[in-house]
Amino acid sequence: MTSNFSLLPTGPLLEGRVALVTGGASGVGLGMATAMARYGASVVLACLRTETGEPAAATLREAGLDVRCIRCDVTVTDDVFNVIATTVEEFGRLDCLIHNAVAGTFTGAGPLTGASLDGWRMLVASSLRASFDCARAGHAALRKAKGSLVLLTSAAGMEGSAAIPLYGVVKAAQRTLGKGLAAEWGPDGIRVNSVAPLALTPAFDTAIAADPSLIKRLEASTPLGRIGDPVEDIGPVAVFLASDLSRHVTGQTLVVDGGGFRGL
Amino acid sequence: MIRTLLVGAGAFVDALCEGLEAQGHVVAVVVPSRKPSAEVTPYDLDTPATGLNVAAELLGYPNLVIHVPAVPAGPTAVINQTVEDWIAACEAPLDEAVAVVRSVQPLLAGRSPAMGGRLVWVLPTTALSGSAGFVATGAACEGIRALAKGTAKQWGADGATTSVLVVDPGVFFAGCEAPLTEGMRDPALASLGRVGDPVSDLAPLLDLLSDPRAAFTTGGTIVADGGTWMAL
Repeated sequence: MTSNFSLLPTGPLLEGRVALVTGGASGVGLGMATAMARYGASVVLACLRTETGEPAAATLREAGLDVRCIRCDVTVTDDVFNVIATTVEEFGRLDCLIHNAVAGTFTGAGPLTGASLDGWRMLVASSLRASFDCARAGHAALRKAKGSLVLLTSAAGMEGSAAIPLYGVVKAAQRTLGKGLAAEWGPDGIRVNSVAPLALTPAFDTAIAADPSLIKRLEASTPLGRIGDPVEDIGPVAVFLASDLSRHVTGQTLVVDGGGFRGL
Repeated sequence: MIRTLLVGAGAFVDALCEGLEAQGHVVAVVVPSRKPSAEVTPYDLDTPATGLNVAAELLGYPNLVIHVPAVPAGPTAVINQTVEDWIAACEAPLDEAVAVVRSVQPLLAGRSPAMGGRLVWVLPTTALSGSAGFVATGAACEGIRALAKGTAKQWGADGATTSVLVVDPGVFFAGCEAPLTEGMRDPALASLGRVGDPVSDLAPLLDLLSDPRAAFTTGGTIVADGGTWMAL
């Protein structure tokens, strides 16, 4: 049997490619954006708060990377369409769209009977409706580029969560949304995958602040013994999914948590 | 006597009701109402409590609550969906499921396991695999599976349990005249050679789940599609 390995890229994996990351100003989103930019991609950070997104983009530009920030509230459909249209207009293409932004994780926490409905609505708007909008807005450009859509999910969506059950609900929904889109968009040459990370992020810091013992417990239950770094541990998975190295991977969930969740 | 609240509407729900009554259940069917809207959350999460409480008063405390969320029966590609289509297929069923959890918790939790206290969702296997044309529906149903797990974890100490019964999409969408995607309604794919009858195949499983002897299972999913989907 002849190996086709020579068909796979060996140089800068993402040279000439364009990626957009929602919620790219910090945490996992910034980690993925940074890694893709290091591998040659032009990257747009779609951020609700440009006061944090602009400095993040500037820092990466100072390091010689091609990164810019565009304001986008993912709970506003027009914002999602506009940021994708602007990206395609200014960079000429869109190869990888990562919907990472989420809000309401902790406001929708606690007993279901008393959970904040505002928190639930924000979770649905930022995770699910925004995924739908990203899909609709990004489809044409991704089809043209034979590109990749990545949705952020969570182990909480696979095993359920007592502490943040509604977060688990929307993350589970996003995961099967990705599977369905993979089936629907395969004929267009678009790959759709999900990533379930666990990393040291501002959101994680919030959880630690509420429960300082959490980090020790998580580390103890993680075979690799530590919580991931957004750039060095989660970022390479985004590079993989944005590149031709994953050209035959679609409809899958990559759990990037050091082995803590092994239920798939 | 098993008292069952069946939340849902349509031919599939009617058939489940017939099957449960054949198993000896006393069944009250609660039909959720929805108000069409393009808002993010179109569903009033607390209104269902009224209908469920009225049914519970008529029936007595239920042993079993079954929720069959209403979802569009026909396939639609995501890029052809309007916001209203999306809400009907994804957000409204999720809202409805969250509303059911909030409403029935006082009816089911805090009772002894021997008394029942079980909440079961019936969903299509689209939840597990995703499906072209049913992207939004699949997303909603998998979200509900996670809700079942989270609810099980929260209610465990109160002796109330949850389960999910997933069935063949062709059975779930009974009465739908629209063409379904390839593979659906194909008995040849089922190991048992058929995809299941709500009255004779599925209602007995729901009855089994309502039995006190099933009280030690919670948060789990049972696939009842004749052996088509086996990837769990």
